Amino acid sequence: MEEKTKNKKQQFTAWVNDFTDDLMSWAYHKTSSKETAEDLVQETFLSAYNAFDNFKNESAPKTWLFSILNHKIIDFYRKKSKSLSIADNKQEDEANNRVNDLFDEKDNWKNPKEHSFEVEEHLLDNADFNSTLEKCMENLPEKWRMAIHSKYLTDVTVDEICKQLEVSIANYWQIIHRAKLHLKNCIDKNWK
Amino acid sequence: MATFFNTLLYSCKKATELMDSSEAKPLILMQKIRLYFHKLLCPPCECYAKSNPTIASFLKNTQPLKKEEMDEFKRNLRKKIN
Repeated sequence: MEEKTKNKKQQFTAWVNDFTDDLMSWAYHKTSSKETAEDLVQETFLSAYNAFDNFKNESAPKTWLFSILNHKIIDFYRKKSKSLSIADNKQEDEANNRVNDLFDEKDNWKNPKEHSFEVEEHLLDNADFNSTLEKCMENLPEKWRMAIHSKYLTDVTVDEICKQLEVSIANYWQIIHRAKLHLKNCIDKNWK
Repeated sequence: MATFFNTLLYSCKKATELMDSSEAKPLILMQKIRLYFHKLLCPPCECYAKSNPTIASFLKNTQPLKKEEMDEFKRNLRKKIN
């Protein structure tokens, strides 16, 4: 019996070493939050550990772990959509106001000179630029961040994202557009 | 003359909106032409168009944890199991 537990532990240590990176990337892209991704991956390993006896080597361990993680992600969104709180709505209203405020009464840029963010080659190798962009991402309302993040995942369809976020497709493109305006403005203001 | 331009050209708000929505719904020829001239005359909008690929590749390349953080995270996971 003890031998069995020892084997199980060894097996799990190997899986943690081999699969954590991929599981984390997946969870992060799906949820856009480092902390949530860490929680979900940890829960995945713990659930897998408890259910290890049911794992009969019929599928590859990695596939098995990913299927557990996917269930955790679905649960996460289910709980999330129920608890999208007043605070989130308020944050969204504020962000909407900031975006509207970028344009004048004729719908042209209010401060055309403010657009200092020029695209240079190798800009993404610049650590300062990356950390500015990261901070700007954090300032987005959660729903916007999730929308813009999942957009760049080739393996998630727009339909699927809309379902997760509970928005219509037309509304989704509005969110993407507003999130981009927000990011661009934030970079213009904070990155020199 | 000003009215003529106003009818011909989009506002900046409309122009940026079209740039983003064109991914979902391709623009028709007339929209493309109007957008082209708008960008030609409006450096901030031209700049907005150019910033899109940069933001996209940033998002594609973002990794959740730095190497040290990942090592620490794995260490904690192993500890929890053992």
